[in-house]
Amino acid sequence: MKRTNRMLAALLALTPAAAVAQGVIVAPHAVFIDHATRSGSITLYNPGENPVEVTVSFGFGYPTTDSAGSMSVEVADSAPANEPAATAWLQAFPRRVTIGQQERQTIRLLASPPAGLPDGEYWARLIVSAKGGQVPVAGTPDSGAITVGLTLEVRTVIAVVYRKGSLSTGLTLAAPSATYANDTVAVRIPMTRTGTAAYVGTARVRVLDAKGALKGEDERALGVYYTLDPRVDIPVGPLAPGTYKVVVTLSTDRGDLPPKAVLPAPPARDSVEFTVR
Amino acid sequence: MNTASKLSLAVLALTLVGASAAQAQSANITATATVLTPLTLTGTANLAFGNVFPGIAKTVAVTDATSGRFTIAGNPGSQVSMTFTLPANLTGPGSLAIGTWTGDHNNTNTTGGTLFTPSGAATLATLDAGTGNRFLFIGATVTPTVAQAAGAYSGTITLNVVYTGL
Repeated sequence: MKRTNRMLAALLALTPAAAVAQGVIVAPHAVFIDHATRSGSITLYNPGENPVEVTVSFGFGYPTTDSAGSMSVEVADSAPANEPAATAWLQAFPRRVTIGQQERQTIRLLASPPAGLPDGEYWARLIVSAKGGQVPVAGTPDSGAITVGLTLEVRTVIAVVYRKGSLSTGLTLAAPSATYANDTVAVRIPMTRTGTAAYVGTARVRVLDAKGALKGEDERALGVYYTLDPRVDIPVGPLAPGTYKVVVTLSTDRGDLPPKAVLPAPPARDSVEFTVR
Repeated sequence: MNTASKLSLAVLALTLVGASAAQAQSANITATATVLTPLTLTGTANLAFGNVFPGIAKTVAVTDATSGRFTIAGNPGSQVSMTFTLPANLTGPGSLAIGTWTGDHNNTNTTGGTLFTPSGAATLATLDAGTGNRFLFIGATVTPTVAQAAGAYSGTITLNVVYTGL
């Protein structure tokens, strides 16, 4: 074994595997940029006891659902040509930084949209990658040993929304469906966005019995960029035979976002019944 | 009432108390603020296999003390999508195969939650409705060859997290 490898193995052996806590706090968790200011910022904070290397980049993606109603947000390096993407003309400063222990760093976002950009909403994803700088592999400094370990990297992906002009949003709620199996009510909520901007809101789903008593409920944040058909599973326990009603209410209430960031839209409501035999 | 609203009210209440105390001396203004929950991802423990031997596969289970561990902290009750970028081989004096990835995510900092297979495909999880936390445990198997060169091998596990609600 080479001398350098022996030294490395000895160094690694002195590094406790669990002595890591690399990560970063990202705030806020969404950035809304207005065409008038063309800038925004996020704050990063390293709560750990070791420096964290942070890299900031942009990608493109938005929430979608598959045929089973499962949500995902696939983030690509660049956007398809037909998408209203801001990815290519957003910049972050600095893009790479080391944040010391319990220190904070502001990342400024500047937009340079092309001349003549039409009114509308333009989307991107900000990717904040953080990893610690220490060597993690632990093992015995034996000259013939094979020591193995893996470091961790975390990537926080947040939405960046660029708005120009007067925008509107809304939802068309198609007929929801509900099925009951294994003590759970599975509800599908097909939605299509209307207007000129993504619908950002909340879906509330309640399961009621024939007397109107609440049997189960769910509340979740929604971002509908085009269409979405999520499946919401609501544990209700064993249900007695009878008819039940599922009530779906969609609104632009979002306590996790600044009120000015959420475009208003009329609430939408629909219901569907199912029978347990 | 959600956490942000509660915090806003708390800030407002404190402001009003302070304003009442100062009322005899000066004019007052009322300030309000909405405190928004940030998103925090932390790698809390590296995945450590320690020493392995040529020709003998070694597995670290999610329940082992040396499993890889992440913590997600964010808006309580929110759903997140998690994807992983995982190495097929570790680098060192040579190449060392790694695979058979296993995962467990839970609202408490213990295993016994939801088992999953870490991969590039999305795994959904809901942050704890009270604390906003979700804990992840990662295991895998390394398969050294009989002629595996001695030395230190390493790689990186990357966790990508995004809210599904925006």
